[in-house]
This record gives sequence, structure tokens and C-alpha cells, in this order.
Amino acid sequence: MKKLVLLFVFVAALTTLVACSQKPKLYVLNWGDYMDTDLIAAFEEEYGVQVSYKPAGSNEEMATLLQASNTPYDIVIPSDYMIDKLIQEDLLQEIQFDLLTNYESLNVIDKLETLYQDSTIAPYLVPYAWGTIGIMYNTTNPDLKTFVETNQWGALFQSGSYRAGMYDSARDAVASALLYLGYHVNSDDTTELAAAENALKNAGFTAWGEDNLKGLVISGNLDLALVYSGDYFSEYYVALEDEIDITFDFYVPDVTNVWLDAMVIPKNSQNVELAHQFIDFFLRPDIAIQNSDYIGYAPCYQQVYDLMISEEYGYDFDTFDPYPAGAVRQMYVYGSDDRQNRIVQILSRAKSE
Amino acid sequence: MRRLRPYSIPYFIWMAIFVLVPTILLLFLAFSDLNLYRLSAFEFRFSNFTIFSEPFIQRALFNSFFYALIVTLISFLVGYPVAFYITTLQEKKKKFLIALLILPLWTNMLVRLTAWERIFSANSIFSDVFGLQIPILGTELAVVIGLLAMYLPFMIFPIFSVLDKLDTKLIEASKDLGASDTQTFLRVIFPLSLGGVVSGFIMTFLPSLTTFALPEVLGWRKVPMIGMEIQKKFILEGLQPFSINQGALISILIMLFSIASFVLITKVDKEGETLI
Amino acid sequence: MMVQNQIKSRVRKTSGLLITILTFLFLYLPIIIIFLISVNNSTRGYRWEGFTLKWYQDLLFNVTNPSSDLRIFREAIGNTIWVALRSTFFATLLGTIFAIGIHALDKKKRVKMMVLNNIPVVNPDIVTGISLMVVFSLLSFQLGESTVLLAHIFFSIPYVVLSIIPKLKRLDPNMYEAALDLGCSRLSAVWRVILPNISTGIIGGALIAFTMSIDDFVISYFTSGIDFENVSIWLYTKMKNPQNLNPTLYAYNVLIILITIGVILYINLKKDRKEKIS
Repeated sequence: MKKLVLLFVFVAALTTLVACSQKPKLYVLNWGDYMDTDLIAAFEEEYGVQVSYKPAGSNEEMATLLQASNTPYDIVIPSDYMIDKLIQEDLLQEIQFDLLTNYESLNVIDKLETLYQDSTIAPYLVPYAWGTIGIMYNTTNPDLKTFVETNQWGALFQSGSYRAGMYDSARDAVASALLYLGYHVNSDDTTELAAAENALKNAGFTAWGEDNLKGLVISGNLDLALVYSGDYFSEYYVALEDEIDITFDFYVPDVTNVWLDAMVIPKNSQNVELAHQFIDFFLRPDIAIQNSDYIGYAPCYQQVYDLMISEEYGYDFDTFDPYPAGAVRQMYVYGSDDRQNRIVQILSRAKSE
Repeated sequence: MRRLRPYSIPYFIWMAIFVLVPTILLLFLAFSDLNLYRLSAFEFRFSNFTIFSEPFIQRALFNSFFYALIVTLISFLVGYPVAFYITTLQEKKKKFLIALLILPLWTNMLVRLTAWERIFSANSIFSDVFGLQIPILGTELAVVIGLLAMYLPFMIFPIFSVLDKLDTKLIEASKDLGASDTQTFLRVIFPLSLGGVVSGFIMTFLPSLTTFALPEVLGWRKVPMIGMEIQKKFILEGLQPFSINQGALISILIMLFSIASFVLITKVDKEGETLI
Repeated sequence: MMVQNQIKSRVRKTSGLLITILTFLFLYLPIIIIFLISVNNSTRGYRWEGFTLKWYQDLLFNVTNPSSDLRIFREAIGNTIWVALRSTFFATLLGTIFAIGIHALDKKKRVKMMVLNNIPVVNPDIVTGISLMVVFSLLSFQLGESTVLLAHIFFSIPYVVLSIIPKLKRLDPNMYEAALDLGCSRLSAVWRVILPNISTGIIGGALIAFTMSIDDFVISYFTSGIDFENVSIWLYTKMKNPQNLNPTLYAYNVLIILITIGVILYINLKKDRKEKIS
């Protein structure tokens, strides 16, 4: 008995004190369910490393985790406006594009590139996915389709007897309210923001959530909800594959937000070279296609896009285009700390009504 | 035995590090503009208190105390009779029922939470198999019922534990002296079980007060509770200036309340043994 | 008068039974749902789609081609159990030593130490979690497995102490002195006299420590940082996207329940046999 105890002590002490494994470890911070885990496993095998993948639910959460110096992430995938803020906070380092062997042979899709190429954030990011926000709704009730298409954003804010869900994100909730009222998503006007706060308070949403909203619409526990474009498409592809009846649809209002999520490398990353190899891995066309299929969002690179619509893969991108010709799209900017505080406050106040 | 005293010194140091230091740090954060991740010059101020003027924080505090109180009271009204009934059974049945009571606690709390989520959904495995629809997700009722399901056992155990150890001779003596059943209960049994009751109250009230995953899931994020606000301040909105400071202030408030409750226990039970 | 009393006690007994049954049904409702999901033939686990045992198969026997989701889940289970075992071990070890030390103090100091001891027990876990996160950040510890382990040891020790102190009180203090008089060293006296008599307290404390560690969510959530995932944290992040929640999680929980039942039955049978023999 004594010997057993001593052995256990020895083993426990050993494993507690000594570092776990010899393989280098890459720390990735991303949105939940936003990267094909099989591809991560493939990367681990090919490069002989370990990847620790931690999902966060929002840009704000990612920012909190990044600022803590005792959490040295190597790769983060935030959205445009948050990249802006992180650069201001001096938390990111510039991408060394010459380390990315696959980047030269790729062109970013024109419409997407114009959105960010002239801004200060360009040297810090490698595009990952882009899309819009829109309304996903359940199609079991035939009237709902006309309701959504006629009322656009109003369908969420004056849902009447329909059960509507709203995204628990300060940026997106306030933006949808501003769009509903006909204002710009980046408005910093006191009256406009106050009106947005009232709209959110009075909307009486049945549920606030994040990724679970799409599931609630599909299962019929909600009638409609604000979702990101890829939420719809990933569910759509899965339904096609599993051959389930598709009881949901997606509508993009005329005026909406367009966003870009990109890979960035934090300043206190401890594996900069490996991080670049990770980014490079996801720039390989076959990998990019598989990942795009998994997450459901539009690819950012023209070559990947062309491959996906070709005979070989046969994707139909008519409904996939986040930025069709002639459409009105507004991209977020960070604004100021005061504005960020204000929209966070609006969200907290609106949820507790 | 005295020579064994030195064994307790390292514990004192350990507790000092893990209990006193964080508390002091939280106090510093709460009463200044210190940035936790960029330690630099800071100044003391009370402006973090403005967070309490926000209606949603007030609502969250009110909700938390209110629900915790309701859950504790209902747990008591249901739990005491249950504990009492079990003590009247034979030894074997007693052990069996108590083991049966502990069993659900061995499943992960979050897993049980997802089960309750399905029970309260309009269309889920629950409605499919049982044919009933209880679509109350997003309501305060769902949160309260959920809290009850999670913490009722914690009211039953301490009460049962104390009642079980009661000297039956005292009850017999009371009956011999002519007291009715009710009188025996009110004057002998209940007062002797008070230690367990207070324990149960604390074990039910405090967790219900500070829960954060439960209202998020069962309340569909519409039901504000103070645990969620604390989580937001530290984890979800931490990049906001002073967010962590405000969070620390709210935490201190909750901590003061728990310590006050703890002082209450020590008044009722002097040995510090009641909690197990 | 007699009949009235008999009726009264009958009514009381039946109502006691009724309320107990209803309570148990209420507490077991989620367990039934967990069981149903574990045998539900659906990847999403949300609607009922037929009976199957494939989740148990996948969890236990799928070694050749587990999906990456399954591998991550299994890793989370491994983390949970490994942390629980180590934290229980250290907490029990340290808790026993500290309990003996506290018991040896004079009354005033003892009460003070017990107050300090009980603070982590009374503090809501969110406050403990945040306190620890704040301390670790200040000391610039990288949040991960070691901080979680440290945190678990920290909140387990008080329970071990609380479990052992009552047993120490019932110990005859003269036995220890007698052992010393008979020539035992201090350590030997502790090992041979004190420990065997408080063994039920030690075991009880270890069990509580293990349970608290295995099920912990809040404290692990705040102290795990970038690297560490136990089952609770894994589940919490997955819960925000419940459609992709692998039902093997529910199979795992059902197995835990069955194992627990097995252990309890085994202990009870052993006790019965011991009683029969003696």
C-alpha cells in the first residue's frame, strides 16, 4: 500500500512539474465552429506540432483574452473593426508576407480588397472569410417569407406574433437597429443611438443568443433571427449532405453590413514562424476550399472562388456573393472608446428589458 | 499534541496568499483605475460606483437576490419535509434514498442544464417523447425552476444530516412529558435542527445568487442576474477601460454578503462544523 | 383521541412519502432526458429520431477513426480525471497535515484558522474564480493546466480539513502522548496512532475533494486561460452552438452514473458481508 502511494506521488510530482510534451504548441483563438477541426488535425500531423484551439464567442471576448499578457496566443481571427482597435492598443504585429509562400499566387477578391486595402489595418491581416448579416427564418409558415422580404429589418424589430432572435453582440445588435431606423451602422450621433436603444428595448426579442440562434430557427423554437451569412450556408450544406428537409431560408436586406474576418498575429506570440506556416497552410487552394465548405462563408481569394464554382466542385455562388453589384454595404469601423462603451451599454440595457 | 502546531503554519501562509492577497487586489481594483494587465501608476477614486446607477445592474442585483430568496424558501418548504420523512425510514431505505439523492449531483451541472433546456423548449426531444410542451425558455420561471432543480439537494442534505443525529431519547422524553406531536416538533426537533437549516439556507442561497451559466441558457440571456454581469465585466468586455474595476467592485459586494452570511453560521454553530 | 392521532400520523406519513416521490421525480427528470439523448439516433440530439447505442460505441470503442470532435472530447475527459486525481491527492495530503496542525492549536487561534479555512467554502465560486484569476495575472503565471490544478487544490483543502477535524476531536489526546512516551518519534506517532483513527475522515474528505474537482466549472473557467479544457469548459463553449454538441457527451454522463451506482452497491455489499461475518 505504501509503495503504491509513493509511486503515485512520484508520478504525480513528475507530471505536475515537468512540461507536458516536447512538440511546439500553437495557440489559436477563433470564433466557435469557425475552422474545420479535421484540417487542424492535418496541420498538426504535417508539421509535427500541437495546436490548441480555443473558441471565443465575440470580438470583445477575444480582445479581453488578448490583452492579458499571460495568455500568449499565436493566431487570432477577429473582425475588421476589432483589428483596428487591437492595432491602436499595440497588441498586434505586422504580417511578414514573404513568409507566406502561397500568398503571392492568390489575389484577394476585388470588391473585398477595396474595403480595406487603403486603411491602416492592411499590413496586419490576411483575409480569412467575409460576409454579411441577415435574417434567417423558418419556412414552415409560408407567410413568413413575404413578411421578412417586405419589412426587411423591421421583421426583427416589429415581429408581432413571430418569435424573433437577436445576436448578443453589441456591434451587430446596435447596427441592425441603426439600419432598421435608416441610419448608418457607424453612427455616433447621440439621438440616433438613443433611438437605436429604444428600438432594441421595444422589440421584445424572444431570445438573445450567438451561434445557437440558427439552431433555434431550424428546430422551430424561433421563427426568425439575425444571423451571419455563413451560419445559413453551413447549415444548408449540412442539410444537403444529410439529406434532411430544408425548412429554413436566408434573406439579406437591401442595406446591410459587410464584414471581414482575418488572421492576425499578436505581438506576444511565441511561435511567429509557426504562426505564419499555419496561415500559409490555410492559403492552399484545396485546404481553403475544404475550410470554406465547412464554415459556410465566402472565400476571400479569386482563385479559390473560381475553383469552387468550376465543374470540379460545382458550388453555386449566386446567393453566396456578399457584395453583389449595385448593393449597398456598410463596413464597421472602431470609432472611439466612448462609442464602444455606449454600444455595450445599449446592449446591456436592451437585454434586461 | 502541542508539538504538532508547526504543521499549521504553512497553511496560514497558503491561505494568506490565496485568500488575503486576491481580496486586497480586488479592493485595489475596485477603488481605483488600476489596469490589471498594465500595472502602472494609478489613483484612488470612487467613480467605479457609477456602475450601480445603471438600471440593468440594479435589475440584475434585484433579480439575483429575489430569485435566490424564492428558491431558498421553496427548497426549505419542500426539503425539510423530505429530509424529515427520510429519517423516519429504516436504515437501509434511508441510505438508499440518500444515495439516490446524491446521484444526480454526480452528473455534470452543465449537462443537466442542457437537459432542462430541452425540457423547456417548444420542440425538442422532451416534447417528442413525452408529448408535452413547456415552452418557457427565456422566462424568469424557467430560471427559478432550474435553480430549484440544481440546489434543492443542498438544502436536504444538511437538514437530514442534523435530523438523523438527533437523540431520539429527547423526542421520547418530550412525548412522555405530555407534549403533542406538533409541540414536540416545534419546541424540540426544529430548534435542534436549526444548525442544519441555516447550513442548507447558505448552501442554497449563495450559489443561486451568483450563478451565471444557468440564466444564460434557460433565460435566453434575457433574464439579468449579477453573476452574468460579473462574468461580462471580467471576460466578455474586459478590454473596455475600467470594466475589470467595476467587476471587482461588484465582486466585493457579493463577497461582503457571503461573509456576512458566514458570520451568521458561526453564531448558530460555534465549532465551524456545520458545513459538512 | 388515539384514532385521531393515528389518522394524523397516517396523513403525515403519506404526505411525506408523496412529497418525497415528487421531489425525486423532479430531480430525476433531467437524468431521464440525458439518458434519452444518449440513445437518440441523431447527430444534433435535439429531436427524437430513434433508438441507438452508437454513441456508447463511439465513445468507448472507436479507436481507429475517431472524429476530431471526439478526440477533443476524450482529451477533455482525460484532463478532467487527471486533474481531479492529482488535486484530490495533494489536497488530501495537505489537508490532513493542516488539520492535524490546526487541531493542535489553542482555542483562539484554532477558531481564527477555521474562519480562514471556511472562507473558500462560503465564497461563491465566481468570486473564488475571479480572485484566483486576478492573483495569477498579477504573478504573471501563464493560465493553463497548472493554474487550474493549483486552484482545485486550493478549494479542495478546506473540505478535507472540515472532514477530518471532527474525527480529530473524538480522538483521545492521551494516545498520542502515550505513543511518544513509549519511544515513537513524532512522525511515527502520527503515522501509527493518529492517522488510522481518522481514516474515515481522510477518505470522506478525499471523496468530497474528488467530486468537487470533477464537477467544477466556474473556477476552472476563470483560471484555465488559453490552453486547458476540462469537460465543463468544453461543454460551456459547445453549448453556445448546441447543434454540434456530440451526443457522446451524454453517453459519458450515463456511464458515470452507472459507475457511481456500481461503486455504491459494491461498498454496501462489502459492508453487509463484513457485518455478517462479525
